[in-house]
Amino acid sequence: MGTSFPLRQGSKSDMTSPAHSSRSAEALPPFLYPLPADTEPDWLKDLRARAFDIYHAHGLPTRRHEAWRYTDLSFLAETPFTPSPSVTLDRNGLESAEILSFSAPRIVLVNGHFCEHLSNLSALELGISIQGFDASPPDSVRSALERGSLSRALDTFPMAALNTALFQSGLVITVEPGVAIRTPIHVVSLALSSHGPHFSVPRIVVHLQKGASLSLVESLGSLGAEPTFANSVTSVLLDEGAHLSTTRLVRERPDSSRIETTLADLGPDARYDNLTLVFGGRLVRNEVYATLNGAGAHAEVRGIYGARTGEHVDNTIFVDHVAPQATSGQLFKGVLGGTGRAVFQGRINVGRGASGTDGQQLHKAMLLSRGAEVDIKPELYIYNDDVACSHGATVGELDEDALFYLQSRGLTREVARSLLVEAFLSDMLEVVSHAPLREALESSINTWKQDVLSAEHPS
Amino acid sequence: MVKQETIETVREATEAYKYGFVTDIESDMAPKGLNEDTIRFISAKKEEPEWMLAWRLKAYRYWLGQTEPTWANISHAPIDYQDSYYYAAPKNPADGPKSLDEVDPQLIETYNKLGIPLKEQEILAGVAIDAVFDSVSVATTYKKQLGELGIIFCPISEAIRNHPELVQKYLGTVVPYTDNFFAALNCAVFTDGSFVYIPKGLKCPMELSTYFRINERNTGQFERTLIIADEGAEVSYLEGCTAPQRDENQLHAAVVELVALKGSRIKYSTVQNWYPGDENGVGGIYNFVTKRGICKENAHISWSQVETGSAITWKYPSCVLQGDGSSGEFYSVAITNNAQQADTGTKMIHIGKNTTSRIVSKGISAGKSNQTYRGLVKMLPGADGARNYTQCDSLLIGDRCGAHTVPYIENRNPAASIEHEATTSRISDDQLFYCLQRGLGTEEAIALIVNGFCKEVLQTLPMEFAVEAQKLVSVSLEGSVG
Repeated sequence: MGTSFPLRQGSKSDMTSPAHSSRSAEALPPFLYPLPADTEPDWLKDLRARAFDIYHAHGLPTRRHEAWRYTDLSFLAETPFTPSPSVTLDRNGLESAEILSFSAPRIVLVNGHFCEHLSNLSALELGISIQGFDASPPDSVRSALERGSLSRALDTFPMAALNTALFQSGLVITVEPGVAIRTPIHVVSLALSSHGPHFSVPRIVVHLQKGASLSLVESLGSLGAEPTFANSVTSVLLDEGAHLSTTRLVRERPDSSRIETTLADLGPDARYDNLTLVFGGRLVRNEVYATLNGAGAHAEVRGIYGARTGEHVDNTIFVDHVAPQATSGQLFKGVLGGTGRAVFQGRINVGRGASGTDGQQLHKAMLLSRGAEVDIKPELYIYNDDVACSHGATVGELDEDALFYLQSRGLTREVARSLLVEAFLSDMLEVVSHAPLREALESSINTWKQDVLSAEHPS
Repeated sequence: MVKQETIETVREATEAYKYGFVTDIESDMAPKGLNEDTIRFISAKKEEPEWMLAWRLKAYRYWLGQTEPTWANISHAPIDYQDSYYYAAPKNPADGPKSLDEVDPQLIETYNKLGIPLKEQEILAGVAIDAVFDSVSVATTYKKQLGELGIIFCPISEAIRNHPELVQKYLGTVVPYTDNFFAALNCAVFTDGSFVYIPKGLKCPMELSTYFRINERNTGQFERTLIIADEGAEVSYLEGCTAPQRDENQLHAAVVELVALKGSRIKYSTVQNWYPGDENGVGGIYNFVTKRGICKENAHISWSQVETGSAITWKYPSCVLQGDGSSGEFYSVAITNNAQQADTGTKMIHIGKNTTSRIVSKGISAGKSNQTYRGLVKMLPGADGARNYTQCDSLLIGDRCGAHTVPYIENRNPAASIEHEATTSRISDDQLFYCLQRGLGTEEAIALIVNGFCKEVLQTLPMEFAVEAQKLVSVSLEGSVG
């Protein structure tokens, strides 16, 4: 009977080995087309081939994959998505998108394609280079894409591998050594459906050279009558002492989805702040992988989210402490109304050599209604004894005592609820130092909050 | 930090496994390997009724279609399920010993080496022992006294023959054969284990205790334990283990089912000290266990465990809090040293209203070992007013070990509240310095600090175990400081 017995499955790493590199079209998993032209430089071809194999072997993640057990992508495979054509958008179209409104140099990408006529780069400071690309990426992205940690990350992130295999358009932002860019740069990246549901694979590469600093603001969303699916990747390379602050607002249309993967590599004493707000979308997954490769690096990954009926928000964070004396923080807060669903998976990895690590993580969720669901998986993987790591998670509803107190002071229940939700979320914005940006973010949160509370208690 | 010579001394002192020896008793064995005939052989040996065999075969056929899970944070060579014996019984299982005098003297000798003299325990400890030697229970004490109260405490094979109505009603209801790979395997080939039934409203007057022992070379041990506390009943059950030293890995896939009916209380305590393998992880027990209890209205289940042994531990004692007002507790101390691997934790499934659960897990990793806490807290939509509190702390001793925490929290009820905290740290130099300055040796100091770290859990153990457990903690730690 020997052979009919179940043997041990291959380990997870086996699953991603390039064993199945046959490129026969009929066996391709969803979204794995169109492939870039064969004229690319060898280094890029090699990288793409590896990424292709990883996604090909892995396929579109299912709930059987541990990292995707709470997020079901099967509806994406069932929607007749086609690759997004190179379309343009006029000014009116842009106005209709829910993007952050504040004054700053602005770059607009539609389905990953750089739209010069909507962008405004006249006020750019010296020392920063912003380059849109529309066929193959310029050679300046090579150092970021080939960086060991970011390249290895493809094994763990199949959707980033998919993007790497396919992307042909996007943006490269480089800041020269020692240059501190004072005004924030606003990147607007929209998915647009024109003829039927479209998927797009935009790629943004940000490279801050030694001692440079930049504040990047991103408005991510969608336009059009049909569903969109953006599988977007941002590669972040921070050299010694560089400091990047990314503030991101994701507001997708109710039938649109986005998987936004950030792969960041931090050099010595580099600092990366990432604050992502997600308010809307059928499915939004914010996946951040930050590897602390240099001593003294610091990563601060934060998020605020809300989900209503028909919406699914997933924040999956992986902070990898490789170098000693590095620190990291994760702080997430979310509010769920209707039958909204949220997922938080936060992982801190402390490697053998990462002595003196300080890694903290906290997730708090508030459920406003029956039917809402939150699934949390905070993970600590620690291979060094000289660490201080902790994580905490709480889930609950609005505090009845606090509601009662406010009502006893003459507020209506609705106002009291609104105030408490505001109080729960608002402290998260304290880290945003740019006042106009903070106000724009506050107003987005408030709009969402009023919508959700009035849906809970229609007056 | 501790001086190198201290480490060496301690390592030498603790190198040899204290309980390592093999008793040479001729076994009545099933042929090597696993197929339907093996299962029929086991079933026939046990004189089981037809329904039992049918259930086993159903489980076996299900198992054939399953693949071994790979999600746990453990690694080992592939297990060849055909390279094992699935049944081994001490000699003369058919007519079984009627009293201790009839028990094979060599067996008694083994127990004496383990420090479980049955006779003494009978007289002194007041603990009834259902001793499982390999797969067949050979002696059960206090059965008569318990029987007079209506309590059934016997090997499960006996229960299948003598109380089929109870077994059929509850077996597989908490852990069905489709539950997981190892549970399916257990359903197919389990050879023995304990069965407990406490009648309505009765508080079991003594702690019930079973000592398991894996003895025959290359025999996987597949126990099946079923404990039923009828309405308002109360019972405390103790399980402790040591095993002889051997070189080949042994698979151990037990299933424990607890049924706590309305208003009843079950306390299940485990001290697990199986052979962990040598310092390179060679040999040692693979411990893949499924333990779960179901709580009806206002019932209570408490799991306490001290896990210090086994090469690999894969174990998640769980509570299904089905009835309103029911509660579950999980207290765990897990210590891994050398090349041991443990992936352990609990699941608390809140179904009923106002259900509460509490999880306190203390993990200590030393040497090159890796330990993972993996737990699930799930609040279903009906669990209004449910509460969970989880605290898991990890302590690392040395810079080659790993401590991991993977809690899963799933909440589908806004009126439920969940709190989870986890910390990872090492023994602080300040604490150590303070103890040394008071005249304690490093080893003593560490034992003291770690015992303090674990105190909250150790206190939940019944008296009979608390002493042994504390000793175990110290012993396990002695070899680990580095």
